[in-house]
Amino acid sequence: MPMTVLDLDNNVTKVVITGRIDIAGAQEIDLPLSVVGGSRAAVVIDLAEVSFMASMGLRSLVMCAKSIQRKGGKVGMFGARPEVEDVIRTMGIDELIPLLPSETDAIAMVVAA
Amino acid sequence: MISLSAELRLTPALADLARVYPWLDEVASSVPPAILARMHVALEEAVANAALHGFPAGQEGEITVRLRRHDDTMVLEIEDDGVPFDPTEAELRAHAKNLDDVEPGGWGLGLIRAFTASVAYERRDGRNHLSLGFSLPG
Repeated sequence: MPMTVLDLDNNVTKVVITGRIDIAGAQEIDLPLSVVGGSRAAVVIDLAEVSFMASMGLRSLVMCAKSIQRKGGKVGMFGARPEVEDVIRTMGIDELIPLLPSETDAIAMVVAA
Repeated sequence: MISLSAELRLTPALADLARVYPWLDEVASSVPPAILARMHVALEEAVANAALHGFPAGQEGEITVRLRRHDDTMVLEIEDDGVPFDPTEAELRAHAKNLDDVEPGGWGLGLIRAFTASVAYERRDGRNHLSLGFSLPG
């Protein structure tokens, strides 16, 4: 499964994405990500197991984040491998969805008032 | 003289596109990891563009990917017999500063331009030809 959703304390939702998020991978996570985007308000996205990310994956993440923010929620990412972080920062996606150094930092960010 | 190192032929079907990354891993195994990672991304974007835009409505066709090496430059060529499509024509947009303003899309070309030393498109003999150049450490 390329994506799992976990409920943490304080109404925080953790999304764990796994594997290659290429054109096929992005298609697989698009719908579940949009469901999370439409229904949760404090979301952390764990990218540690993502081995590849390109524009389609960025699109899925951004669409999800837009939905969350539209309802006043917060979303943060963490755990990106160097090659995935390279893609995220090169396209400035970290300016839209914060990329935090750790899960703890991401959770702290999304629960902060 | 730029020598041909390897060639891969695909159809535009999604399942076939998955053959690209193990192929590049194998034929570019001597490339430093950070550069190889960027080659993977640029190639994925280029091949996905060719498959999605060149062959509307499941039209059949062929995409050929070639790797060439000359001294300290590696070139990936993506050739297809689909409808004319120049991926370099799209305008690059400035990065959006917030989620309200962002319009998803356009990151594919942005990644190709950021991760390559050179990009060239040509329509020739009824085919799209895209060349992506990568500099290797000297």
